[in-house]
Amino acid sequence: MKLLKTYIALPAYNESKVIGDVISTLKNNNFENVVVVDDGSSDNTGQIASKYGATVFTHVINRGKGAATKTAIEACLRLGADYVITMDSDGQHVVDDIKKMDTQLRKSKFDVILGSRFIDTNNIPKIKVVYNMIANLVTYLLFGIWVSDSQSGLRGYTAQAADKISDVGDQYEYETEIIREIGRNNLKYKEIPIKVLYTKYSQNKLKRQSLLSGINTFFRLIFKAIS
Amino acid sequence: MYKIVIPIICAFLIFRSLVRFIKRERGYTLLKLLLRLVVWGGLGAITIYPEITFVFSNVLGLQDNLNAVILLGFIVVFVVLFKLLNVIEAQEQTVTKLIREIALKDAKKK
Repeated sequence: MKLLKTYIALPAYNESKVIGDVISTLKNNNFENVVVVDDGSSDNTGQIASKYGATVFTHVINRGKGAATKTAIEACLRLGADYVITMDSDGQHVVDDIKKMDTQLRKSKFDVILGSRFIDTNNIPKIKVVYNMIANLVTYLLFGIWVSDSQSGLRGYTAQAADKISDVGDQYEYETEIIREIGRNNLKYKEIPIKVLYTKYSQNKLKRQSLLSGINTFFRLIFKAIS
Repeated sequence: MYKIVIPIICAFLIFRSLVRFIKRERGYTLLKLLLRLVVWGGLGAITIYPEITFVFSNVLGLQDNLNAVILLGFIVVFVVLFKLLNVIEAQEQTVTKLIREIALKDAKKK
């Protein structure tokens, strides 16, 4: 009987401080197949990821989180993945949630498993809660699907589902457009509660991504919807 | 003075567009030629015969002919901007596809 393989897809941009720990944690928890897409980092993210045993692919110039995630998924499929789990590379996700997602993908009949930070309440900053509510509302108005966390980076796909998800943007609108693709391809999905570790490092990153990036994402989604 | 200079400039630009179309320059489509004829021809015509603008104001239901022209200008600028954004987005997608293919060219070997 063929052993079904789960691949972890990690888009990474200037994550040299944490990427090693993230990969180590995954490897120590029996996730052997880790694919990192170094999205044109100016630090040595790619080299560190490679040193820690990940399979690394490099974007020669920065193309955005959406583009890097899509490349990582594509790489996993080409390497023979049966299931693909995408996650952020800044160490905010908990390995138990990834295990839970893997189990769900293997045992349930769902095509996509969406991690949601808002099913079980935890330590999420208030500004993030407000931002996510607005994003959920925009997602619902544009694509007619209500999810409790339209911006989560932790998501799992069967290979067939991952293969169907094609027409998605390069930047942060990617997270929302995945929901549209789920609807468009009639994929069966389920949300599961996940926890998020808001470390000092990820909080600083959050500040960098800021409100401006949210507004930019909003306008990109609207523009795409009407063009 | 402007009644002479502007029509000359418009005529020159239209002439250049016609030459480029006749020479079948790459990417110079009939749509582009028509667009330039409408824009530059329209500007030249309005300069020589300003009373044409009353036709716009009547059609648009605006009392002042100048307002009608400004409104039309805004619409044209909006359409052009929209088209430009579309082209940029398409180019961005093409660049990403290229970068992805470069990144994944050894995917099966790894």
